[in-house]
Amino acid sequence: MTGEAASIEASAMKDWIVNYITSVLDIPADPFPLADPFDSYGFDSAELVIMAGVMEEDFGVEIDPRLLFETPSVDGVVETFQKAGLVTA
Amino acid sequence: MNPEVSVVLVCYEMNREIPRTLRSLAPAYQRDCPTGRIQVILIDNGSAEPPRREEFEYLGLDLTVQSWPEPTRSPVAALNHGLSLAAAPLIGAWIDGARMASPGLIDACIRAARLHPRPVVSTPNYHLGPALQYFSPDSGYDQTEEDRLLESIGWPEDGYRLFEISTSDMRGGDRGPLLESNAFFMTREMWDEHGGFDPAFTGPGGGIANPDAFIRACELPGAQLIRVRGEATFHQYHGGVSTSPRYGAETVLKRGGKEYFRLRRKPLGLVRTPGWLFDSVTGTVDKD
Repeated sequence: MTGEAASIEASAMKDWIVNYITSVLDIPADPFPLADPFDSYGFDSAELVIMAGVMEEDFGVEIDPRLLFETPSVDGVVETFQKAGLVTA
Repeated sequence: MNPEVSVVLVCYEMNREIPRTLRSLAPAYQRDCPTGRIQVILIDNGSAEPPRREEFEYLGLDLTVQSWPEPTRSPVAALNHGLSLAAAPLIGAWIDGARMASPGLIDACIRAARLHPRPVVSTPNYHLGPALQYFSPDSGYDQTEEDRLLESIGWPEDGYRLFEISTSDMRGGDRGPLLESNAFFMTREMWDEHGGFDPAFTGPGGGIANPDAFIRACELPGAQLIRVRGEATFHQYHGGVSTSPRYGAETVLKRGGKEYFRLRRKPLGLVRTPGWLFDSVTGTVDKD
């Protein structure tokens, strides 16, 4: 991703993603399959890209959606973002 | 003969594609659609050399061709103008005029619409070529190759052979989640209630205007989604915004998602309603 990184805690990002997905899909937030691939519960690739756009809107940073495909789970995305410096531990 | 269905199309720099699209809607091609059953309305959105009605008289279509006087990069205003001209009780909107129809599409949509007083009839989306058109150019797919593919199946001889040279854009099968339908039909009353395509979507190609319109259609009170199986529209490669090579398409979708979120204050979600499934071949409807 590019742009000035926001100071986002990993737990906050995780909660944001779970809230986003459960607002789009009819699945419970608790317990949420954080390690399972997005498509295993029906969150498809188009929605992943759309989510990247809303992330940009909410967090004020530019996000390359292809990064979300590299590790396509909630835990995976948060870890990727941590490595990229967008999210703090 | 009063038309049973109006099909509204928008074009921009589609001199190659529009003749094929219109041929696919013509009486000689569409099953059980003699002259007058379909009204086709083509609105040009600022092409350097707009199409002229006289060029297509040989097709025997009830055809209106107009140039939208205030073209912008979004086709929404042109499309809404076309909807205002529609005279039939059932109206289909194609935001992208570069889409050819399968031979039974129109009759199937008419039959499907009769199943419910408030139908939203959706048709499957395909891309011509061996892969979706935001991938296929990476492998050399272009208009020349597309022309060759169409010639290889002898198009327009048997329009169903388009399925042989195309790739489905549909996720999860006949009842899978839908981002949009690139040719969806509603009654005039429902279009009036719906309000048409939202002019707030001003991005190139209309951005996410078509998915937004489709979602709102499905959300109309008492609306019944009816998915047609066995027919489709087939996108011709023309360098359009959302079918440009992969990164372009993702960028369009991401920006569209942002734009939608700003306007609607909720995420753009797919239509997951299974709806009814109308089989164009058997005429049966699966409501489960």
